[in-house]
Amino acid sequence: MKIVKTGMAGTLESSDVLVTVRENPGKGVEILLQSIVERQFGSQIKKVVKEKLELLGIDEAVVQLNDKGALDCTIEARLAAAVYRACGITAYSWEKI
Amino acid sequence: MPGFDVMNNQENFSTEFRKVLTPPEKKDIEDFLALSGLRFEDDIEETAIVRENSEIIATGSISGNVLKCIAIKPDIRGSNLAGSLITSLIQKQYYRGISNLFIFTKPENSSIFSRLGFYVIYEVENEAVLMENNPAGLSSFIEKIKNETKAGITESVSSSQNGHLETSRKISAIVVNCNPFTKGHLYLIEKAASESVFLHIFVVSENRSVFPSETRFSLVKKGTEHLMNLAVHNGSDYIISNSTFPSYFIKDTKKIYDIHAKMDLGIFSEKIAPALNITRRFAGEEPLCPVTNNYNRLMAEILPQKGIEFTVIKRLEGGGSPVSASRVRQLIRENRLEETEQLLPPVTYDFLKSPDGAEIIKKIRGIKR
Repeated sequence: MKIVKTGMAGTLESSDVLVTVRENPGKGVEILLQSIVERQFGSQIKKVVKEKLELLGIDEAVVQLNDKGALDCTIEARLAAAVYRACGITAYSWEKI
Repeated sequence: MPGFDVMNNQENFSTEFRKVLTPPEKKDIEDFLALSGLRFEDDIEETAIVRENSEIIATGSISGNVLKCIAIKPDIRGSNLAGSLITSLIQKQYYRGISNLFIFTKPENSSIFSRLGFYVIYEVENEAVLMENNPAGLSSFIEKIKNETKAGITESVSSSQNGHLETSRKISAIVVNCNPFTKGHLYLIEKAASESVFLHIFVVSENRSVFPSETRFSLVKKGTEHLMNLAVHNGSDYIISNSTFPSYFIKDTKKIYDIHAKMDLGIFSEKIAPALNITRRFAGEEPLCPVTNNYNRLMAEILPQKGIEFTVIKRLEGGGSPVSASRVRQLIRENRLEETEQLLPPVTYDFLKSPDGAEIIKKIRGIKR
């Protein structure tokens, strides 16, 4: 999948995360995390993001997360939605999501 | 556009967006903002109103890529209502196709917005702060300028060194609006370019001028093609026009021009100029417009403090008075298009004669002054 625009998904409500995915040509994956539980779960969140991106076949992107304490499954879902929007794709691969 | 995610708001809150406010609604919003020392601005495109039962408890507005006039009822602050409100505003903007967002606010509020994913670009101490939700926004802007410049700057720097190294000639910059591009602007640019190793021209990007941004930019670009040692850039979001500077949070309205100048010139001299090795800024002398004249005065005061040399170039005169874009617009308004030919470079005059130009002429004649 190729990122063609900025994709966003999620909210800034408690227990949710706002994910923004931007293109990053030639510079790999960059994760910018801002989380209320960064000290406790920062590395876990980054791990979830990296694995999900790999599954979705994204190897170049700036992923910005503003996390208000979302569970891993929420992060994955918001990230997948943001990536699909960034790629302009509405035919989802449900197995990967 | 795919549907956005709706998380349930706290049950009894409702958020609605309005493009047009009825006079009583506008008054309610104005009164609500006044409680936080804020004003409603006239260029607002949509306003979010959050109500609990029928009482307004929060509001925020959007204008272009800016979020502004954001306020929350004092006694419910801290309930993450700000999070819901900003989410609504961000999502509304995303629907409109705008994802890079800006907030101008008081410095004491910057921490609220930084928790919501906004980063400080620049702060005018105690007065104002500009924030953006893309931490790489400014650096990608500078990257873009460098890419637009590459070929030109290496050529002109090396050619000036092959001859004789003139240390007095610097890399310089000029900011222009060009509404529209006149012989006066051309003269100013030619003069500035002749006194520079390389000249960066920033065309202010805002949609308040009767000539749209893209038109102003392309006329300057085409009209300066004969000059080798310059590059024309879109001023984007980092060259801030006073016509679009959000000042809803500045209590003392007399200070608005000063704060705008400190913000715009601060970003220019501390962020943009060092990255591009710009050490000098030019401006045209401004005998007619008091706002621009005041800005020139502020540049003369502020820029040298920040290590940027500032030079005013005397204006080109034609037919007994200075050549200016406002005079051109005046002639168009008075149906004297032919007389603008002597004030305009061919590129602008030809544009005015084109179908796109005719549209703008109609618009100018429709505007009453």
